[in-house]
Amino acid sequence: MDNIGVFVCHCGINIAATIDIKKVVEEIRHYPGVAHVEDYIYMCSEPGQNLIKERIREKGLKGVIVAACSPTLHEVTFRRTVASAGLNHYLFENANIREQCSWVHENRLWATQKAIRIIRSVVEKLKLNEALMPIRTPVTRRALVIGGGIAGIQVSLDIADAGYETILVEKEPSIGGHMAQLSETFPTLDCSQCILTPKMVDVGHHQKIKLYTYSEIEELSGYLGNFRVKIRKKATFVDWDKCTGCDECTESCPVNIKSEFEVGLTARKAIYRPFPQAIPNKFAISKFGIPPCKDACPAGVNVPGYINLVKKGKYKEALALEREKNPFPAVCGRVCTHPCETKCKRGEIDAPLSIRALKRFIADREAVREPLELPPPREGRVAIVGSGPSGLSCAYVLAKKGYRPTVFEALPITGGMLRIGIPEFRLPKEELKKDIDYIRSWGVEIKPNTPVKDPEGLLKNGYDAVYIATGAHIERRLPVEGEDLEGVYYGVEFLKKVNMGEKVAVGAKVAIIGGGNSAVDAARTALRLGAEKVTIIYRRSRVEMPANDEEIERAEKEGVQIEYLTNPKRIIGKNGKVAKIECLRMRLGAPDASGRRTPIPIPGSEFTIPIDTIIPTIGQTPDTSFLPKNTRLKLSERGNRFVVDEATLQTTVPGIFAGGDAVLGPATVIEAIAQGKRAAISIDRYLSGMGLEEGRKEEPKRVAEPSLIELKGIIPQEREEGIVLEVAESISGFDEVELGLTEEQAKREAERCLNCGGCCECMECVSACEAEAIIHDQRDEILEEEVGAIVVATGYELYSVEKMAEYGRGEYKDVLNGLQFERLLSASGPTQGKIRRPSDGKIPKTVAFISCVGSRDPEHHLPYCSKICCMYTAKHALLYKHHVPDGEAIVFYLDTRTAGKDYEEFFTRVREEGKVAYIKGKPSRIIKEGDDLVVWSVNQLTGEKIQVKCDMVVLSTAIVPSGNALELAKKLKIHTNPHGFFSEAHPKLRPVESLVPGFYLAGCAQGQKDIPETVAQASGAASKVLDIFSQEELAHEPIVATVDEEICSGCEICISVCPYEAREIKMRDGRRIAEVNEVLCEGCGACVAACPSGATEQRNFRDLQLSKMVEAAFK
Amino acid sequence: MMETSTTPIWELRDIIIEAGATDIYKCYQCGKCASVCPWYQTEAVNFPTYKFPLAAQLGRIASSEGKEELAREVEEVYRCVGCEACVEQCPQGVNIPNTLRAVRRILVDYGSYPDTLKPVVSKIHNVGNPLGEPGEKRRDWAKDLAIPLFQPGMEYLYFPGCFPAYDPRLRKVATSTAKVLKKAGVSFGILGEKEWCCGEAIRRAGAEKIFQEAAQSNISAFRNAGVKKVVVTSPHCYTTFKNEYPLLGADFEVFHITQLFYQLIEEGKLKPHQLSQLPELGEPNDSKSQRAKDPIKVVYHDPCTLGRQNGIYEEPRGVLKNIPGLELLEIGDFSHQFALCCGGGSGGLWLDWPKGERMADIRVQQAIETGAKVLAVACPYCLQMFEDSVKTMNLGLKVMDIAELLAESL
Repeated sequence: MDNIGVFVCHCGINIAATIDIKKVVEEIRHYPGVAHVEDYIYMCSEPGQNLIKERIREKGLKGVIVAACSPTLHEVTFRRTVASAGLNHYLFENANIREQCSWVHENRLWATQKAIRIIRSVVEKLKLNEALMPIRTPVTRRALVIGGGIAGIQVSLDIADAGYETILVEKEPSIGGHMAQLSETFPTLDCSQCILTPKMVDVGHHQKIKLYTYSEIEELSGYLGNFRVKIRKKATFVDWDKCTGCDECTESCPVNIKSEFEVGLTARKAIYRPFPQAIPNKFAISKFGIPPCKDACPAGVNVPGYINLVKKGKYKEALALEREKNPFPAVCGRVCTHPCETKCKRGEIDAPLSIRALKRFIADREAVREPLELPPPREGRVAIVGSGPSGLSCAYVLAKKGYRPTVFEALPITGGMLRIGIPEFRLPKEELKKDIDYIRSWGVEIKPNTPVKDPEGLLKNGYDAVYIATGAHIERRLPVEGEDLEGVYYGVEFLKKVNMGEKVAVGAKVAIIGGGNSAVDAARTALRLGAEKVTIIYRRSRVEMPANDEEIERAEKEGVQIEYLTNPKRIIGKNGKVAKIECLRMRLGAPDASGRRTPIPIPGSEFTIPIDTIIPTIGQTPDTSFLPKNTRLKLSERGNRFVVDEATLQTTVPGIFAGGDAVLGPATVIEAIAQGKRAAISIDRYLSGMGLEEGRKEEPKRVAEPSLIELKGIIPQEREEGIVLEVAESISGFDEVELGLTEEQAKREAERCLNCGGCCECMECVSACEAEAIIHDQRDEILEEEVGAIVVATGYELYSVEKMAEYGRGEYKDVLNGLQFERLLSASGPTQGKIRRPSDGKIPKTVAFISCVGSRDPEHHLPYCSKICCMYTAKHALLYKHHVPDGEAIVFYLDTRTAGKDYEEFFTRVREEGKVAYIKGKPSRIIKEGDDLVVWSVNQLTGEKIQVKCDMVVLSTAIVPSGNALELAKKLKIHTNPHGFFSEAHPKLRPVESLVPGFYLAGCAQGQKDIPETVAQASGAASKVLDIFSQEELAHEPIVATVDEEICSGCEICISVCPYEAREIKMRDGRRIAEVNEVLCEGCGACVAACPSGATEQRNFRDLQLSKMVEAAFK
Repeated sequence: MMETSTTPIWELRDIIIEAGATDIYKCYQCGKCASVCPWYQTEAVNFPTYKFPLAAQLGRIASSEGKEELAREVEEVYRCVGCEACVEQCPQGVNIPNTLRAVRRILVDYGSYPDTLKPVVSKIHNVGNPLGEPGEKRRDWAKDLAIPLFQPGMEYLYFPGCFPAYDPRLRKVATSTAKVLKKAGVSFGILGEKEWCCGEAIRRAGAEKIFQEAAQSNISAFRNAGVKKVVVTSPHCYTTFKNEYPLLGADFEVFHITQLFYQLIEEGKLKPHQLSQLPELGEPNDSKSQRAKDPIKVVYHDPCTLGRQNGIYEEPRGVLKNIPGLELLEIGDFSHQFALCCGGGSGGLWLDWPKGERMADIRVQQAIETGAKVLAVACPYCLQMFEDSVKTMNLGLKVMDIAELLAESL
């Protein structure tokens, strides 16, 4: 191209003072390709622009260069100028001789030379420029607004009122944001809710607004005008189409959770609506995950469910809930090893809940058993071998599904090990019978005295499926000399005889070998049979002892002695009878496979104990000897366990399942129950022809873990324990030792539950809801929407008081943050607008307000000023005085910033009307002295120390972006500043736009601001969106990357560097080519620099142009 | 006559900045420093710390013409004990002790610093310790223990510091330390007369040149002896060795003795036994059986230089918690970063403030209110300051170094 016109601007003296314009004009005039050069004082002025237009026409210029300021300022102006004279936009170039030359240099000679070089260089570029046309894209005229606070509400209403559909997404169940929490607003003292709720109602009713509350952005793709967004509609567990907002459910809900809306000052129910004016007027249920206790229970019993029902006195419902998962409440309420209690989070504060005792309590309360509604009968006959907890649990689940299983029991009694292995003083026969009777009542038939010799034979004899639950009844022998002497009884056999009512004589001095629950049971039984001295010999230490702690303690109380780290070496007889036991002392070595430390004998530590009865109780193993020789049932290597599929419990013979101790070896009651239930599900699937495994794979569990901070505020309360018989009384017979909790105790104990999982699934709301809207198994939904523009209005939260060690780390109840104080002031708040301090409900007579907490503290917290605190603190002080006229308000401030219309006047009013003392000085401590809080500061203006004894302190904690802002920024691929506030495109001139086209910002998401500013920005953002929607098509800058398909090798490097996802691989004639999506491309040039083969170039910034520019600049 | 108005003295401002007050313009006058300052807790003194950065900006610290007025100003400049409670809290990171140290340097250069400090500075210059004791006697504390001089190949140099080396009461801390280290089988030696005062206190008092002398003397003594690891009793030696000597060319690792003690306990090399009773803790009315059963209540005081300034809070507590029969108490609102200074730092040890102006008096009172019988410290300055207060106030509180308590339990 020749015929280029160059126009040099003086910019007043901005350029002309440093650059010799005349010299520049002279030099450029002779540069090849330049047809015309002219200078003018302000090229951007109208006469300046007209001059360019005239010269284009006069001289037939083919390209124009304006040497002036930066293209970020006037490129658009001059492009328009040349276009109006008939030239293509892109045949204009801007040479920057101001920001990059005159402003940064002092030496006139050098600056002039540099300006000449800059212009020459741009001439070279322009020579090779192409005429381009903007890329046109269609526009989807729907907006997405993220965040339903006042900013999001205003944006949505403005856009929707203009007639465009708006999708408003809010993460909480209601819109309203923080403004709904405020009492009155400065400086006019309008009631915040009164001015907000009409707008909320408008949103709720607006035909053009689609409201997704309790929803979050999952994923976003697309570009300005054409976005596709995935929205996660979180499960509310309430069908909002049915929910009428009648509020009946909250009454029924037993679970209290700290109220987010009341900033933790009160509790709400697990089923809730944040506040009465909520939009939409719908309820949601909070579920935080599986509670640790339920997660720990092998049978998955809903522990918090029945505990919360106890709290409400609904014992019948509690028992029914328990029995949904476990048919043995009376048994487990007594003998369960309660892994739930071990995991109970309350243990980290004081002591775990007495979960087992509560279970027993509800079982014991059952007075009359109501007739059951039996399900319709199902096809399929099931035989169950063994009437222990596993067999009966299997039978129970099957019976509830409509099967009529038959349970075969070899012994004359039912209950298996529960009946023969556990002594009556722990589990009375009657109590066991209660549970078994209940199972029977579902239509389970139990046949005692009916040993099964061939389980496979059952399949041939009319049964369709079999469950083997024969337990573990063979006792491990003591591998020492003298084990066969008279006076040696094996523990389980011993317990069985006693339980079956046989007379068993023990000597005066009894030794029990072993450390499990059976060993302890045997010891205590021996005491009751008249032994004078009972000693348990255990080879490890107390820590490793597998018996329950409370059983060990009870045994010790009853007089049982325990020799830890001791192992028998041999039994010494006299006249064929036991006389002495020789033992060795042990020490503990490295942990073994079970994780317990291995006992190692200490050589030479032998000693003897005189003894006349020895009861080894060192474990049992399943009996498989009853099986026929040719059985197809596979056994473990040692032949003592059935081999089953871990998930389905099916044996190697289809239709035969096995579980409980017969598979696990001696395990706990609750594990046996869990296996029985699992087998029942398999059998049901087997009989209905379903795949055994299909859909049974466990989904990843989310276990609820209340954080330490949440636990910190909880006041310790003693764990309730059941009444226990006096020792003298208890060892005189076989009466049950534990007597359980009283009703008062049970209710108190139930109150201790922390409800780690939120909703306890007690199902009370299901019965309370007349609209039948509760869906406890609802899942999150992912919805897709198409939108053309997005407004981010995700708001703020307050900086955590826990980070303020000097102000009590959030541990002082009467030290509040600003939002908490708003709730205390609010007529709808937890105290109905009466100022009461949280610790004791007293009216605080002196309140100190501390400003700049966390703000303006670059060393420890945040460097910025939070902007609204000065004003709301002044408002707080005044409103406090309105509520408590005889109280004193004192404000500790650093500076008081009241920049805003009527703000300073309000500040004056506060001081005068409220008699509020403003002390300049940042307090260094809040010290708790009894019920008082003492604020330590200086009065900086007098230089004196000042210590103020207060009833309450309000901290003006800093504003920070809402917690998930950074995560959202990543999903949207838009920028934030280092503090997480979303970045605007220009701090002054483009304050509501993001740097990425199509994204707009409103409210505190962009930066700390008050309500008037927020609303103004929101309307600004809305008008920007409407600007987009008003266009037929959107024009996209055509300076984008291009690909030379001949050269591109499809190496994908450009894909990895592109920040806009504008590069993608396409197949062209069987070759992989990295194409450019011109609409997504922002022309940043990253791929151009990265392309190793030079296949990628940028329009009007081609490699040749750049090298010519460099050449011209350095010639 | 008192001046009723001030004029900025920009030249003095420049000199103060030159002398090290580099962050005075960060101050935005919030005043938080003044109410964390230990003087805030004294009855008789008002010490508005926040005025110093601004005064320095105007060149109006110790700038009075009149002699009396100047003396009063100097006294104020020397009130700062360098505890850094203000530094810990300052939102802007202004270091007031540093600002005042810059002023003190100027005062020392002109010889206008407190008379009580002058002999201390000259004794360190002449004989290498503030007590003025001869160098030959620096080993005397170790005579009966047969502690060898440091030889290459030994792991640690034990550097007891001036007071534990010379002061009759504090020698017990040094001997206890040596006993514990021997018991744990630690390979260590001492430097004896080649050991000089670390210079930390006088540097903070403004005597920069004498500090440089002391530091160079130690650095070359360590280098010549082949020292790689130094373990110290005093947090003051610790902080200057760790944070200041490296800038002067030192190349050795430094540990506070409580860090080493804790490490030895963790490694199982020290196994404290039941601390049933302390011989000095005789309370005539206590029956013997009672005393044996009840744990000894010990409250720990965080030395400013160990805690706030070097973040060592847990190791000293770790040592105490591992002594069976000892119940560790805390001074509720004033422990860890909020610990109240004993008043002995930055030259404070030699400045005799009248009653009502002594931080140590307040601190021992706080300690006794916890119900403790023993106030455990990990700093020779704290020990001296507190023992003085306990004596003058006639309190039933025993002040002991952690090394002494640990030695008792072995």
